[in-house]
Amino acid sequence: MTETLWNAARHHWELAAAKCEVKRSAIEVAGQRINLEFAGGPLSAVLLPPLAHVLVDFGPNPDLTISAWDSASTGVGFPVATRDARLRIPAWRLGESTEEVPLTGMRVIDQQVEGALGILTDSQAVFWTQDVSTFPAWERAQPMLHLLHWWFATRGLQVVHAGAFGRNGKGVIIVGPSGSGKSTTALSAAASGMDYIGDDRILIDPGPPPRALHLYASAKLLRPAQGAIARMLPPIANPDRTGDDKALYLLDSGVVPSIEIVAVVAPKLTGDRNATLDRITAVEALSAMAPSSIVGTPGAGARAFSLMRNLCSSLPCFRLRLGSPESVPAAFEELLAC
Amino acid sequence: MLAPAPSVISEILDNEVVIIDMSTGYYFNMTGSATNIWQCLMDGTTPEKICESLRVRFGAVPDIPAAVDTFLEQLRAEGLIEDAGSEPPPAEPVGLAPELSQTPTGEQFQPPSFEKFTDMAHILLADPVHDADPTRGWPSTR
Repeated sequence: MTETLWNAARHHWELAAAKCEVKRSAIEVAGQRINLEFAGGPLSAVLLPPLAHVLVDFGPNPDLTISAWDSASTGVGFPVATRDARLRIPAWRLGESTEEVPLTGMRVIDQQVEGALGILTDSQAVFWTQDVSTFPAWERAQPMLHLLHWWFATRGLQVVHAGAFGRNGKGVIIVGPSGSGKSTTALSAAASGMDYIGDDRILIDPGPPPRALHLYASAKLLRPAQGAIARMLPPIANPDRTGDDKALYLLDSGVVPSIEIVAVVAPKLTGDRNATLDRITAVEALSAMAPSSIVGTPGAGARAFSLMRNLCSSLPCFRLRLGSPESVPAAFEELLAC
Repeated sequence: MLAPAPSVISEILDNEVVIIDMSTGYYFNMTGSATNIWQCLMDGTTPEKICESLRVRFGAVPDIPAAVDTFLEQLRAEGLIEDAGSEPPPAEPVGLAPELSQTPTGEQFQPPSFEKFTDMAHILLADPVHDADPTRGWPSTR
């Protein structure tokens, strides 16, 4: 049944590709090249910009190929009733991440909220969406996150719920649940001239030495940026967002491919005037980092937990008491001094 | 024999345990004798062997059996442990995790306990289709 699904999905991608121009590109992270084939102009226009800083030329012998299409612009739907329980698809779904995704075989991510679905095999993947124009900010900021998470895990690299920034090749990762201040901290540092890796989802290479790798050149903020952060950022990428959808920014400068991680930092919103760093235990840092990374990411499990444990136990860990955004860079001066 | 439930993952760090129950989204921290008990449970064990391990570490403290029983009931109530079939053949040394096979440390026995955190549970307990905030999206819930 799973082979039937895969063959049907590939066939329908080919149908979509025959109906329109196929945009071909590739990304390269940690020496791994992933070819991207987009059938449908709107799809590439939305999915490629957050990957701008890891884009390379499409070429032969990739490590992974992702073939993607959308139904709205191609008129080609997804092949089968994938949500029919009779198919017994080995699918993971947000909110049901009770099993660790295996490193081999066929894996399916069913993103019902976004109207998207991805299938990953060992070296090929398909990504389908009904209509990319309805993607909310979080999906536009981190396209194909789950496929990439699962595939990079096969290479020993872990997607974590964290931001990262640094200077002169060394830096910190910023960990904690949504709303704890990761984006504010990372963007405040970037606005002061520090190198930016990410604000919400980054890759970890456990090393040694451990490194934080850039994946998405995006940042999301609950409210449009102000002050120094606003001056550093380009215009909002989703000015037509509805309600209180987060403001999305696509960074065009200040991004670096990777940094060596020298500390784990868990921010905490306070009413303090100036941001300060206090040492915390490895367990406190792990408790800030692991639950949101694992519970909120389908298929993450014991492997990811172990990697994060090793990271927190081998590095100094700090609580960042967040003050004004302008005071954040100074709090890291000593930690990031050469 | 008792063992961690299949939905539970854990890591021991600096003699503390961080446990995540992926079926509920709850996570737990344990210290002290609770860490020793969890370490035994990770390999599958019985209440008797847990008590034996604690006596090796803390000496012959009369409170140990009752404290272990109470703690195991709490772990069961949280769904963190479950029966895992019959007891395996004895290993050497019987019933003792290697880290615990030592003479009493002089450390005073404190009844085991855990801290429970529920702030991530909304992500798992919510229905991502119907409970997601329509504008901010998953994992933000209504």
